[in-house]
Amino acid sequence: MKPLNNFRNILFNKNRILPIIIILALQIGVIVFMLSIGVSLIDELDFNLINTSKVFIPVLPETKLSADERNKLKDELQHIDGVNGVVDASYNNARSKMIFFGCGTSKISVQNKDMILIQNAVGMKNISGELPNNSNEIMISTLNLNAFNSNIEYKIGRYSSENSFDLKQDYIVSGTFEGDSNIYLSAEENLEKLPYLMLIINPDKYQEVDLVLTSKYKTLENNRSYKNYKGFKQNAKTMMSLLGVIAISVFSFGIWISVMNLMKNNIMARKNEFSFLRSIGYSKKYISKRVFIELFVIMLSGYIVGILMGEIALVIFNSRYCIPTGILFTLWDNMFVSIPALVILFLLLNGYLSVNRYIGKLDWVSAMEETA
Amino acid sequence: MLKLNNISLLYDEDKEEKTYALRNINLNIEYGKFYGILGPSGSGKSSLLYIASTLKKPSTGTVTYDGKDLTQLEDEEISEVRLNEFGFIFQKHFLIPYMNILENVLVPLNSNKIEDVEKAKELLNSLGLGSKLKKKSYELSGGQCQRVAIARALINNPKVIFADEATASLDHKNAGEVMEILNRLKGDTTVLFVTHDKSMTKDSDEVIEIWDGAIRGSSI
Repeated sequence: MKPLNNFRNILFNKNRILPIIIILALQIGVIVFMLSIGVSLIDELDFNLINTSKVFIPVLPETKLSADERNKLKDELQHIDGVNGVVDASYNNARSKMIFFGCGTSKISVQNKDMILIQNAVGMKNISGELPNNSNEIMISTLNLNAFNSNIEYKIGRYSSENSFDLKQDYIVSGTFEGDSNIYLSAEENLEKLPYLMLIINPDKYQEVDLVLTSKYKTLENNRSYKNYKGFKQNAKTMMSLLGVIAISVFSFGIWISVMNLMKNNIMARKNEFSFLRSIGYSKKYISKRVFIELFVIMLSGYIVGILMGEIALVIFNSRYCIPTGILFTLWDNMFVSIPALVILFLLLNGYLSVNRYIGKLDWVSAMEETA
Repeated sequence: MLKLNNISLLYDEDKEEKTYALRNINLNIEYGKFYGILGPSGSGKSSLLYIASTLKKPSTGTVTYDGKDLTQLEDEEISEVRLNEFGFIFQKHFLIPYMNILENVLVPLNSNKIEDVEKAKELLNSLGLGSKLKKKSYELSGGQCQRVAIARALINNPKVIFADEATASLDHKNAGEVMEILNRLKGDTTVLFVTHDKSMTKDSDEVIEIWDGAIRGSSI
């Protein structure tokens, strides 16, 4: 038997595979870009909502309680294990600075005496400036400062519900901070304007506090604020993840259709070539192997080039749009490699089986006779 | 060296009414001779060539090559015989369009060893294509492509060359040149040359005339 593996050019059609590589790479690039948006949103949800909500829980319903009733409830809540403090507060969700989705960055207004408590609760670091002294002043996280200064309030937050607020530039930034949570902190002297009781809790005790609150609130007349708050927090991340999975799946399906169609056209157009090779003595196995190598090179090249293209697009998008507008954008995550790799593996497996089936069923003798 | 014993080929074996493409063919092909297989279109001459070269399996009968019954071999084994022992020239050149002509000639060897590349160059030189090694098939004329196909058929030193209407798509001049090249092989290589053009068989050692699926006559 003559050597059958040292002639790299056989069945390696450079001219034909280049367009497939380009199309695949573009689509993988788009997947990387979509993933980056998804990961950015999830990161922001984690940062703005999940972290913050594990420190603060607004518990008092909107209905007015008498001063005595309020103090009684405050005292009762203070004694729940894991609660580090209870303060009078107003609590609003500002729409996120993220362009695509409002993630609910919290704006918390408390009286000055409770400022330090809040400051400690969210682990504020590198504080510059001063704590806010009245309702038109805010303390803002450094990562949101760019967004605020960029006059992009329409992205930071329009009114989306009665509990949302619009962070306009008529607020005065009294100071900035860095920390584990992302809030806008404001001050309110007037107790009448602070309808909520805000629990400041130990984040590790969140589940226990939540259980006690849930059972306690069954006995209260109106628990809408807590239910809304809990529901939004629990659903947001799941919904975003689900949306991401659906988006990536639909797009991957599109890739499968387009790339496999191109591959199919490529293979079908080479019917004569395969038939000739079979006629001069190349086995089905050998031809399938060589076509698979070609397929492998297409997939690997498309994968690598696609990820590079996606990353380049992300860097450009980040520098041209996100940084100037203060949007925190995720430029790298292991998912940017693993999810496209799964797509590529699926395409490769599907391609291999299809090629094998085609070469196996190819009626090459008839093809030769028809051509002659 | 190559024997066809009582070969028949049915068009549709499943149908009740049997239509024979070939009927009771017996041939004994000897080493180094040039055989012209002559017949009109649809006579079964190409089918005969396809069966002799193992491209097709006969409905009945056997094909033996150097004493080995090829009809009993598995696909992989038959492929190996074709790759190592036979050379093929078809009416269409079947050059692979994305490879240059030097690479095309090397296809049956599947090799890019220096000695093989040199051999391919020599062959192409001897066929007057030494200056076109890097050209693609679409840059050559029909006659030039067919000469490349001949070089490709010869690269593995085949014992038998099967040529199916190898000159049919060429003009008279180019067809004559191809015949001249094939005639040069006489003595070293057995050539089975299928044609419908009697003038192409004038230098054959033996002409086998096929008519309606059967051998009508054989002349030397």
